[in-house]
Amino acid sequence: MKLKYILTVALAMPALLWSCKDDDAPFGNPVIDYRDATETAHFGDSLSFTVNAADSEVALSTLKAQLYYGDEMVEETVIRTKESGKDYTGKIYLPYFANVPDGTATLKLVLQNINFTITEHEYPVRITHPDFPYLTLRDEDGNTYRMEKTGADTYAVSERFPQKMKAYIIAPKVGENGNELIFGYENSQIKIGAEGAIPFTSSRGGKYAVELNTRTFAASPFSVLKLNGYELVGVDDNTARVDMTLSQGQTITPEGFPNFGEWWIDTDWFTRNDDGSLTFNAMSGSYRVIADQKLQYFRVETLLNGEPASLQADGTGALWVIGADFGKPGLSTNETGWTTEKAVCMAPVSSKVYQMTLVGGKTVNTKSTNFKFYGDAMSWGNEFKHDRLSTTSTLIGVGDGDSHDDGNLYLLDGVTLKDNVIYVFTVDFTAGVNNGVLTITEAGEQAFEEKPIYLNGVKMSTVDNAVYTLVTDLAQGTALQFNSVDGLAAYYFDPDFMSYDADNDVITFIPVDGQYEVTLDKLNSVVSAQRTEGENYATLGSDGHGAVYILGWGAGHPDLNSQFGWDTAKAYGMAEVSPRVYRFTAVAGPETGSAIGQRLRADYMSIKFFHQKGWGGEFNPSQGNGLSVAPGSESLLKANPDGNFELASTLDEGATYMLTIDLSAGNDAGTISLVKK
Amino acid sequence: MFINNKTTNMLLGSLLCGLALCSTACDDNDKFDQGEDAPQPVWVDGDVRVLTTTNNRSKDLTPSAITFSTKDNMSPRSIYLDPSRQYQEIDGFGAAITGSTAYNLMMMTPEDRAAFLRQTFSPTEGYGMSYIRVCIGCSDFSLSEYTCCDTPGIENFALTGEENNYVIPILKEILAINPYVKILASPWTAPRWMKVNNLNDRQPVTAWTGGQLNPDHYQDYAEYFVRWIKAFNDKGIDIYAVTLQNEPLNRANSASMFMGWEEQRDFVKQAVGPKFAAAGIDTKIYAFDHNYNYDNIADQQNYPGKIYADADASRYIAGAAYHNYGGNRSELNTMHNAYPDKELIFTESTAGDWNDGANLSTHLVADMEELALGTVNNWTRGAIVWNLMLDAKRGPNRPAGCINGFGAVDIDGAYKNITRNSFYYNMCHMSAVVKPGAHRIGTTGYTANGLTYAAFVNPDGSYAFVACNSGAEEQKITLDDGTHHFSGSVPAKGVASFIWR
Repeated sequence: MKLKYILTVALAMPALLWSCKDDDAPFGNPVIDYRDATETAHFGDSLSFTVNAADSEVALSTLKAQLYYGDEMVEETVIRTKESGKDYTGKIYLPYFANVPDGTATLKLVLQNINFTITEHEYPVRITHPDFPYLTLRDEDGNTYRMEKTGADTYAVSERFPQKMKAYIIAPKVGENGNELIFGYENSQIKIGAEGAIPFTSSRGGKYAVELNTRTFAASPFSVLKLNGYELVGVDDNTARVDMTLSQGQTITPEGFPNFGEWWIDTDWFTRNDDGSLTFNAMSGSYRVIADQKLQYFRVETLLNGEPASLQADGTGALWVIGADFGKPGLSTNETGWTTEKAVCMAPVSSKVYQMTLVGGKTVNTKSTNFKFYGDAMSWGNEFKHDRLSTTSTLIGVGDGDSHDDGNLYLLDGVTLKDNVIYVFTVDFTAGVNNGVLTITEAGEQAFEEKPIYLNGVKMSTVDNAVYTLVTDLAQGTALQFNSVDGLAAYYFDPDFMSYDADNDVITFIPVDGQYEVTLDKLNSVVSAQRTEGENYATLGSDGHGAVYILGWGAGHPDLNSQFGWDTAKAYGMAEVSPRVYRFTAVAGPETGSAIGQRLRADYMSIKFFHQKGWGGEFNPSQGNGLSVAPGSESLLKANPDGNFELASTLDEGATYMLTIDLSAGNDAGTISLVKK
Repeated sequence: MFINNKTTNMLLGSLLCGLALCSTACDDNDKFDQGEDAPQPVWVDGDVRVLTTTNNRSKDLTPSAITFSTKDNMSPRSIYLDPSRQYQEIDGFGAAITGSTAYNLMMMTPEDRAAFLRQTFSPTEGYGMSYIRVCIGCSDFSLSEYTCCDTPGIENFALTGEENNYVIPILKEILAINPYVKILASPWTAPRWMKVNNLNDRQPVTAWTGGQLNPDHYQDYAEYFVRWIKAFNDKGIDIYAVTLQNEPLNRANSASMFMGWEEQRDFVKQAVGPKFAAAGIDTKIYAFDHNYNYDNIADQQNYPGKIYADADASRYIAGAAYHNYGGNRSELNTMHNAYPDKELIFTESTAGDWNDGANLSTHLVADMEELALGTVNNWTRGAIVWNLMLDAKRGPNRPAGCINGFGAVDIDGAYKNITRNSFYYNMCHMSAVVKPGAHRIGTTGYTANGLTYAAFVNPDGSYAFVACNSGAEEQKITLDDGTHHFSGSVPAKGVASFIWR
């Protein structure tokens, strides 16, 4: 049934205007006959309409179709109506916005004749969200990926994408009036029809899921960068910034920075702490911290009244450096040059004293220097020439305008800077801004040191640069990310604690949630873990949770060259892979010459299981808590009365076996199985 | 008509003229002449009451009304109010009744003054300004330098002519219009006999400017606060809050006194706090009362926080007060995050020649973003701007103080014609719809570059929404409280306030 809600409006104003006319032109009577009225549609449809427009007295002018979402007109189509009594057909797009609920919109038809007499009709149109069978992700290279429906209005695809990927998401046409819809990006928001691609960013490369909710337009992943909880605002694809009030000595905790362990830290502003946080080194005040994700460093600018500060008449504010032969984070990657936008803000280290630290060969040229100081923020203003800046340095001079450009710093005759030596440039204005004093001091040599390794952003401990450990809380299924580890794909990952998806470069933690000590052994290329409780290794709780340890011969880690024996220090905790179920997975190998991962002898076994990493509680029939060999494992495993387990038959060398202890029925009713995978 | 607003009058005149033309057949225009001297109607009745101002005064706190929509809310520009997310309680919004302001108001005819004060402070017939700052003794906008105890000996305390003849009569007139107005008081200096040149030498100072409070006079100065509050109470004026020193890090000004955080900590815990408690005074004490950047003094950073760290001092301190002459308002957020149990209040900002302060075209929205909405969206319980009214000579002012500032309104030499400046619009747009005791609430939905807003629920259950738009195009919005929704707009370079139940 066609719905016709007729509202004919005879506006007073045209009547008044008409009453002033001399020619007594008639009002006319525009008549709308809306045919084939559509009562339901989807967002994103193009709604067809046919209207018979007529006016028996006055020539028609236009027919307008206006779409209202609530009280707001969101779309309008105008059709010229030259002939009376004719059918006019048009389409009006039903805009598809984020977070607009299903509802009844209003289609208003406005017919006007040439004497401005108007007839309006309103028709309700029930609009609902289309149910797309799938979506298509199309990256900027034209690669397409099908996004499957994962729930109401949600779609996802998981693939090995680059860490940063710009892409559009395309929804197929749904229904007779539907359109293909393209989700793009504009003003930091996802919009249908936006020209820009959506800048997806993962905290890591490899396999990850791209998701979109077609009702809310919420999408992921977008790596949110934060410093102390303050979100950085994107400046461009590679930089984001935040203005902060910082105090000297304040701890700054970064969040969301990919590979933060590899970032270059400017020691004029920050000191990196072992827990991955930073300590602010400059004077307390307002600063703009700019994260350069491409160069992986923070650029810092002193602020005054919310804008980059200039040097004030009393010497406070900021001092800027522009010129050649230096650059942060590296001379080769980001030489400052004579570009005002790249001016380096010196760190205020005390009132009216500014500092910039450079390292020979790394951030400053050792053969030549040619840069100078400016008082105005990122401009050529308030330039410091030799009349206002002096130095007694035996390394560097301030050009006097004769042999060297006035104010430019130059290496004194015969001087070259030394590779890796730290040079601290300090400008002191305590005697006034016209009496600046430049000092350059050597602050030792930048020691060669192994890059620290971070697990999920937290620095691991090491005593010999070979074995790194970290005690941390881990949840089952957590992705583990190690920074600064070359050749991780060649590592052996204890298969009961973590799985490594080499194709996608993803390490996933397997056991139940808890505190674990994760060990990365660079010497042997092994990553393993053990359950811990506070500062101690975990024990088996009366509830069956915690850890079960193996001691004995015929088993070892990471290979049989390191058999456990009866040395309690070598007791190895089995992974609680599901509640109260403990597992030790191994490849069967020879007693000597075994490879990494060959953790069970093929020809011999005499092992026992303990409640702690040491003597004390153990699984022993004589103590009433022996482990029963699970049905099906008798052919491989036999139990001795003293609680030791031996092989019932030899294992196939090179085959993988799973040794499992199941305490689901209680610690006194455990079963043990040995199964070939 | 004492409001000097040419644009408004021209438009009003045009509108009235237009209406008169439309109704010439049935009416004369006498009633419009009669209305010339009456206060403008502040509200137009309707489901939603709206006030709108543009930076060219084409809309000048212009009232209008909106009817709730009966249609499904499908607007893509919907802003959904979420009263389940409540932030800070609101104390109020207003301006300072300095000695100079009170003097200027007293120079008006009683009728004009009553009309202005009613329009400014009445919660029913006016814009409902709800928070006032007054000075304990002189400020740089006084008729002279003085304190209420210039003769040594606290027994010599007495209110002066500036209070008795100007400030107190004006406050009483305001309170008669709006008894719920809160008053915060701040001293610019202690009596000079209580000051020393510094805490090491402790030499007497004779200057109104600078110096420090002699610790030997902590008790006297605390007693000074007590007597001042009681003296105002005796006049029927309740003092809701005090700060212990206006701009404690400012050693300049026509009257001032340096009070570092350690001094303020000791003063409050050794003297003012206990004295207030002993005297049964529940007036709130706010620490600091100065700039966001602590005037870039290294050892004064986090001034209030350092006082909070001392439990014996902190228990007397309600929170901290800030001005915006230095630093960034993000400090408010920083302080809230660090000390969520402590309150924040914005107590002073002024405009002057230095920032082209009378230029409404540049200031209206910028001030809303920085001051009215900028502070309340960063946890302040309200905002108070500096002088409510200055005269044509930017005063009366003190020669050694600020001599080129503007009031929230300025009045001409005849004390007749008033020009509203940005801060007046700022405060009125807030106080007209956000009532004392309101809570700022959460919002979700539409955001846009240049559109800044905040939502509130008032104690009577009504909702308030204030928005400003720095863009060159009108911003259409739909406000949805879950029960009602309606479409409105925020004009280009303008401000709009909405209130509905």
